[in-house]
Amino acid sequence: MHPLVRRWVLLCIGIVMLLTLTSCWDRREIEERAVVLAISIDKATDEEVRAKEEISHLINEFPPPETGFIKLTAQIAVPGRIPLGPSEGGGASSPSMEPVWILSAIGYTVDDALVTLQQELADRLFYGHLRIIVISEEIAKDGLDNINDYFRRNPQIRRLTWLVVSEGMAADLINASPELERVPALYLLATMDHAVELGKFPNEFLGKFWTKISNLGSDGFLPYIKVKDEENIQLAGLAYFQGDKMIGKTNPIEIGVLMAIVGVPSGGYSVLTPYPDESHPVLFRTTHRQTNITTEIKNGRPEFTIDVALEGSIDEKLKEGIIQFDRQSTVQAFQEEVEQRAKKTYEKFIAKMQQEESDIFGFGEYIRAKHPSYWRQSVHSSDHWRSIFKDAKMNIQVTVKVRLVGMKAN
Amino acid sequence: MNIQKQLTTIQTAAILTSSIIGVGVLPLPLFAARAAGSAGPLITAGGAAAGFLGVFILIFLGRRFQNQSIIQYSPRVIGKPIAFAGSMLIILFFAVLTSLAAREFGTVVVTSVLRKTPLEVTVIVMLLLAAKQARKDIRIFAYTHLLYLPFILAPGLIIVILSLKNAEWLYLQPIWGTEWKRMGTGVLTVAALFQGSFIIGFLIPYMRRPERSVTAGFWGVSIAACLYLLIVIAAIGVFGAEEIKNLLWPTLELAKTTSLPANILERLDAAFIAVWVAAVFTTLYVSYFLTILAMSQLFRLKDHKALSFAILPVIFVIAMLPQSVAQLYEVIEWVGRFGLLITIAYPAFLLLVASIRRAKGESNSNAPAR
Repeated sequence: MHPLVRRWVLLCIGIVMLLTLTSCWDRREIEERAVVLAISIDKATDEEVRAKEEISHLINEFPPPETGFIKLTAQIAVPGRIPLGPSEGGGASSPSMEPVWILSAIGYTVDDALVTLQQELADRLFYGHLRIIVISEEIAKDGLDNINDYFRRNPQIRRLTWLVVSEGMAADLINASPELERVPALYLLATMDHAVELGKFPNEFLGKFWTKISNLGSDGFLPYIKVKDEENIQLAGLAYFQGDKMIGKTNPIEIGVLMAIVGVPSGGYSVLTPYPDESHPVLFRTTHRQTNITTEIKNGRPEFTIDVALEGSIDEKLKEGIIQFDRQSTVQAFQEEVEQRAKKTYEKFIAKMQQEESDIFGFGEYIRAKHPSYWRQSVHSSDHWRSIFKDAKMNIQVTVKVRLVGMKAN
Repeated sequence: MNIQKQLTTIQTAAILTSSIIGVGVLPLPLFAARAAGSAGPLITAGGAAAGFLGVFILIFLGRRFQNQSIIQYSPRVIGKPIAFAGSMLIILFFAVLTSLAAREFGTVVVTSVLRKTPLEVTVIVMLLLAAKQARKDIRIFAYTHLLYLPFILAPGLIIVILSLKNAEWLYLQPIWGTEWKRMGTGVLTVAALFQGSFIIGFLIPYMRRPERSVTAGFWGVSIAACLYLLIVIAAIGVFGAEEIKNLLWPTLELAKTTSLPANILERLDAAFIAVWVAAVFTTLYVSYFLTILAMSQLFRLKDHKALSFAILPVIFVIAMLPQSVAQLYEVIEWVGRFGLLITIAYPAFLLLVASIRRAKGESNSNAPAR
C-alpha cells in the first residue's frame, strides 16, 4: 500500500475508534436519572388493583396471580436536594424541599410494577444506588422466588444491598422520616449498617441470603424490622425462612443467640442475669464470641457439638449489697451462672428452630462438608435435610469469661 | 545477533499467561461448580493439568524443530496432505476462537455495563483493535504482552483478596467430587480455557534461547493456572456452589460483592470490566495473531500483515452467528472441547510419529524459515 493511503486508512480507523470507544450510546447525565434509593414491596389492596392501568399486559390476559398483586413503592432521590454534609436546618421542613420523592405502582410481578412506574416517570429509573429493599411480612410468607429472580437478573443491583422484612406495611418503613436523617432510606441503611458494627446483627446482606437459600444445608434469615411511634425504626428480630418462604419470626434477643451459635465474633447483646437471686439482676454484656462446631454421625443420625466461648463484661447491677465483683471467686461464680443460663437459652432456641424445621444456623452445610458420604446416601434435598435436622442431637457447651467490670471497684 | 531470534524467556512466559487469562475467567467458577459443586477447585486444577500437558507436548515438539513452527514442521513428520489438513483445522479453530472470545466479551459488556450500546459495536471495536495490532511483528507482540501483564493480573488478585473476608471455608468442602463423568466433562471445559497457550508452538523458533522454553512454559501456564484457581476458590467460598449455579458470570458477581475498604468504591464491577478489557484484548491478540501467522506460513506468504484486515469480516460474521447467550455458551463448550483434539491430541500425535520416525529439524540455528 502507498504510505499516504495507509496513513489515511489508519486515520479513519482511529476516528471510528475514538467515536465508538467513548460509549456515547450509554451516556446518561446524572440529572436525567431517577436514582432509586429504596424499594418496598407490599400486597396491593383490591381497590388499588382495580385502578391498575394496562401497561405491561392487558388486564384480562392473565388470571390474577395466586398470591395477589404487589404494590411497589420506590424512594427516588431528587437531584440537588440530597444533603451532602450535616443538615443546615430550616429548609428541611417545607414540603417542597423534600430530598426524596416517593412513588408507587401496582404490578403482577416486580418488574411489571417497575415498568408501570417508569411509564409515569420522565427520567430513567436507575438502581445502581439501591441500598435497601423492604418487603412486607405478608409478601415474605408467600415466597420470594419472583423477587429473587428479578434482583438476581438485574445487573445494576448490588449484592451488598440489604433485604429486610417489615412488620405491617413495608411502604411505611421507607417513608418513616426520623429526625436524625433527612433521607429516610439512608436512615434505614444506617440502622442496618450500625447494627452490624455494634454486633447487633450478623452481616447478612442480600447476597448472603441468596447463598443460604440456595445451599442445600441451610435456610435463610432476614432482619425483621418495625416502625415505632416516633417514626423510629426498631430491629425487632429475625424473620426465618424455609426455602423462599418466611415461616416465622423471633424476638430481638434471639438474634444474639443465633449469633453466638453460628459464632459471629463481635458481640453486642446484653443479658440480665439474676444473681444471686431473682431480685438482684446483673447485666452481662457480650463483647466477643467464638464458636466451634463439630459433627459426628452416630447410628445413622447426625450429632452436633456446639462449643460457644463468650467473653464479656459486667455492665451494671440493680442493687448494692449482696455481691461484690472484687474477688475472682465471685466473678467465677457469676460466670458459671451465666454459662448455665446461656446453655439453656441456646438449647431452647435450637429446639424451637428444629421444631419449625428451619436450619438458619446452616448445620446442614457442616454435614455436607464433613460427611460427604453420609450426605450423598441419606440426604437428597433441602426438604429432606430439614426433616433430618429436626431430629438431630445437639450438645451445647458454653464457656463464659468475664474480663472487665467497668470503673467501679465492686 | 539475529534480528528474528530475540524473544526472551520472560517475554515468552508473559505471552503464555496473557494468552490464557481472558474473558473465560468470567464464567469459569460456573463451569467448575456445575461440574463438581464444592470440588470446583479440583476441576480447575485438572483443567490446568491438561493445559500444562498441551504446552509441554508443543515444547518437546518445538525443541526437535527449533527453527520451525508447528505449521512448518508438521509436513516433515506426517507428510504433506495430512499436515495440510491439520494446519487448516488449526487456522479455522483459532479463527472461531477469536470470534467467540470477542462475542463473549461483547455480550458481557452489553449485559452489564453499556446496556444501550449495540452488541456489534462492542465486538467490532475489540476485533479492530486486535486486527490493527496483529499487523505488527513478533517484537511488538512480545512487548505488548509484557506491558499489559500487570493490568491483567492485578484486578483478578485484588478482587480475590478483598472478597476472601466474606468467604466461608465450609463451602469449599468436600474438596473431592464423586460424579466422575460430570467431573471429566468439567475438566475438559476448563482445559479449553487454556487453549490460547497453543501460541508456544509458534514462539519457539523466535526464542533467543529455545532450550529455556520449558521454563517459560512452566511459569507462563503456572501463573495463569494460579489465578484461575484463586478465582474459583474465592467465588465458591463467597457464594457457595449452589448459588454459583444461578449466576452466569460469577467472577463479575464477585466484583459486585466486593467493596474497597473505607467505602472508596462500593462496587468494583464497572472498574473490573474496564481493566478487564486489557485481558480480553491480549487473548484476542494472541489468537488473531496466531490465525494469520499460521495462514501466512501455510500458504508461504511473505508476511502476515496483509491478512490481518482481510480476515476481519469473516471473524466478525462468525462472532455474530450465535443467536443468544444460551446458544453462545453451548457453542463455546462444544468448540472448546473439539479444540482439545487440535491443541492437545494433534501435537501429541505429531510427537509420537516424530519420535518413532526420529524426525528432527536441521541443527544449524540460523534465521527461522518463514
